[in-house]
Amino acid sequence: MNYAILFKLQSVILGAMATAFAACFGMALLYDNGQSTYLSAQGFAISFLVAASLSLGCFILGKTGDNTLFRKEALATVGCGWIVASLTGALPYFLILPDISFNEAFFESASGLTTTGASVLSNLEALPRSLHFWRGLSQWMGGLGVVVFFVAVLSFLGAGAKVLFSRESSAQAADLNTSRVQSGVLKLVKLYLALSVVCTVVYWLCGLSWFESVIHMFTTLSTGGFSTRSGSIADFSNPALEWCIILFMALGGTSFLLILDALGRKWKSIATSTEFKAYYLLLAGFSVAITVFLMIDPNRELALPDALRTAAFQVVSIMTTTGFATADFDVWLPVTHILLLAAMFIGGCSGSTAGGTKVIRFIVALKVSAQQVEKAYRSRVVRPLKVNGKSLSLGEQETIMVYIVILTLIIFSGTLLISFLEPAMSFEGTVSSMAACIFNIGPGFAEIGPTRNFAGLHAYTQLFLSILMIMGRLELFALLVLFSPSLWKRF
Amino acid sequence: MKVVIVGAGEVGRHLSHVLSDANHDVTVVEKDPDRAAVIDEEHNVRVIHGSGSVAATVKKAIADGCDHFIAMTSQDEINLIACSLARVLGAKNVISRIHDQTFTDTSHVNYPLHFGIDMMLNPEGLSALELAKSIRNPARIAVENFARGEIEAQRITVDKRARFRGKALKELKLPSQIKFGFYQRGEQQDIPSADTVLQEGDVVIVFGPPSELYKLRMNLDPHSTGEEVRVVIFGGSETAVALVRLLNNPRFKVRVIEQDEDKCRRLAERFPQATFINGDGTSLRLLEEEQIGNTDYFVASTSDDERNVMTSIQAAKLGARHVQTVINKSDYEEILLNLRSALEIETLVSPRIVTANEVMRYISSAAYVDLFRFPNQSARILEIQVSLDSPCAGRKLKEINWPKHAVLVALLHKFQAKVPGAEDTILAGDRVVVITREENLKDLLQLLHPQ
Repeated sequence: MNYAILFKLQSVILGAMATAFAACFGMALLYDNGQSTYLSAQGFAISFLVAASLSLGCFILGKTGDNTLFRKEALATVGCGWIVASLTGALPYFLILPDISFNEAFFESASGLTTTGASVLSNLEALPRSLHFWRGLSQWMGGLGVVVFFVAVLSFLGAGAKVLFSRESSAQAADLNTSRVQSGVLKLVKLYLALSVVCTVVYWLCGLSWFESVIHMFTTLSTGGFSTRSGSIADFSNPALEWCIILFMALGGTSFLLILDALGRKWKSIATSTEFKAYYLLLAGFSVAITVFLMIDPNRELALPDALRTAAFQVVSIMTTTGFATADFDVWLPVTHILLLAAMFIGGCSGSTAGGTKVIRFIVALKVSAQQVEKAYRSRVVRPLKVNGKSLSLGEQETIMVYIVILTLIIFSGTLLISFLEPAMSFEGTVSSMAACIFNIGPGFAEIGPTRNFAGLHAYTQLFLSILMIMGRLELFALLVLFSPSLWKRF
Repeated sequence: MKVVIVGAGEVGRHLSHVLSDANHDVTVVEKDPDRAAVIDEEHNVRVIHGSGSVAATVKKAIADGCDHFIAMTSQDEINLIACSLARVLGAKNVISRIHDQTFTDTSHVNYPLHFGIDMMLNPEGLSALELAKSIRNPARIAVENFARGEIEAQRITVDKRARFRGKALKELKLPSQIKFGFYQRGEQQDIPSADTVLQEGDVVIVFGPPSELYKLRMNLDPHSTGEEVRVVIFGGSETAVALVRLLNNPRFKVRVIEQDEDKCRRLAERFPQATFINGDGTSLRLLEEEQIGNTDYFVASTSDDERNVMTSIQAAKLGARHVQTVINKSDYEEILLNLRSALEIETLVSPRIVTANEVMRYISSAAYVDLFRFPNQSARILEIQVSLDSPCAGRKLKEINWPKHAVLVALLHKFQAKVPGAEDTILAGDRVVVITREENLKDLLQLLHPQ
């Protein structure tokens, strides 16, 4: 292990956090009013100083030594980086809010950076504006990835940047199709910024204030799900805004590489993308099914436009793992819960800001299963497995199947642990809290439904769920390897 | 004629033998000294020991004139270099053997033009064509392939439910690539004109690209198109690949049995329409598991003749309806031809022979080649070479005054073939495929190849 480069890159991550805190400090001085100004400005100032001095310390530790970045160092950088960022990100919550424990602050911070959107705070309207800004900004940074931003900037990383990128993002560096990974990532960052500007303006046109537009843009594009209101999007009761949010959530769950292709008029790559088509078909299919169940539900007599909008919003929000809500789906018919749970597991496209298992993995898993069924009676037949117009090698298929197996194992053992820590929780609540965190969604059902939050949970449960969120965001491996002793030793 | 052949492998050696027997002056260039010695001993040809990709060797080979330069090594790149050199050094006509299909793809670079090649030959492709002939046409009567499979002739009986029944040919709005060449109504046989009205029970012979003919068949005889044809190919050889490509119509259910797993996987990725089975085709159990007894065609196409023959016999005994076998070694040819009916092998195809036939047809100086004769001798299909002094040369088809009962069904310009339209121009050196009545033959030759 090359500790020098590890420290050097941690110093960059901490530096980025410090910069973000500085921006929030500015927000606190400009926008916060009355009593809270002093508290929030002080909180962000201390956070900035801590992050900056840690960054400096890491920089000094990593000053000597070479810049070569192998797989090992890259994985460790991403894994440690996210834990360090979540820990420092917890500082403002801890310092500014009067009655919050550090594990709650850590939960809120991890939930922000991993774009989960699960919260332990209840009265959001009472928060200072600068803290709202930090919640939104942390999701926006985490959406594309904290590491991605500096992969684009630090040219000395060389080929190591590829590993960094593919470990943090669900896309592969090869998909970027540029000769230098940095220029490809830079394109993604530019697209993200451009979409952010468009999204903010659209929200403003829909009637939000500039401040709320920006915060909701931060949390929509990153498929995060934090809102400035306790009642989430339902508080605005603005149908036009809801349709716009549906659109931008769906875009956030689409592969950014495909959006780039579409902007470059490369329609062929969209036509051959199995994932893209399956993603939108699934969104439409789930929405229609839930619309039907909403309309036949005797307890609520919704007209078709309302039912469709409400269903589409919930489906898109859950499947893209955003977590906004315009309705309390916890009181809907049980069948809709199962449908939403399925959407949770599937998630968005690879190469997007969404979480979940990813549509592509589901397609591959289904195809592999179908082939295995045929193999049971016709063992010698050889069939190609094609997705997105390319055929997958056996090794790639195996990687995907193993990923799903590990994920399932973690979900089962994690559910067991939570049910042990939270004896009072219902079964639905236990399972959905697990799914909501590891897939970075936010709300679940029952005790953690859209109108409730994670505040009542045990401190250990909150810590465990925070780690799960980071694990889910990094697609397991970057965090799992940290527990593998041989990573830290010489071979 | 003076012919230079580079490479004395199975195909090259056979070709040099056939050509020298036909009294041509043959020079063989061979790199391997032992093979060169064998050729020198067996055939009446001049042998030059050296590589075809070396300019000095090529220059020496074509020093006293060369009408046809034929590169026949097994390596495409050497063939391309040899041909390019020969063209520069003054060979009149350059022919190259090409395996890789990418060289025939002219969408990026026109390879033949770039390397100065007049004709590309693919022995495996030609074998596959020979095999595909009967598979593609279930009626298996009066079938010929022209221009390496791009144009096909089919005999179709007009059904009573046909959409085109009772209509004159000119009303049908046929695509320009389709030509009606011949029709038979009871005892009467003739070459149709635009006014001919199709009736139930007419037998017509149509020419055109296979895909267009398939559509036409749906309009003339709706029943014959729906039948599925099950084809099993033993071995994922180049011949098999070419055959799979020729059988890309969805009505062919193609399975390929190949032992090498990697190869299987690569092929499966290239041809999603076919099913690939990874296993040993000589295993009886595998053949039974794959229900070879139910297949319409079993094609053995590996490079190993012994395995091909044994598996073919096995397949025939299991009940495969038609069995076809590729024979690579010349030594087995005669005995297999003799034993064919006893072994129940229907078609034997040898890459050497089909290639030699193609080359012979191409370099022959005869005015025409008989391609097919209709049973009662009233009409025949010919391939005629357009000579330099032909009055048609350089003129558009619509300007030419054709004999009434002669239909031009294919125009072969260099290695490109098409069914010609009125705007197409005939050039000297082109070959045309004509269906004509016996009595018009003289007029036609006067027009195209006067002597």
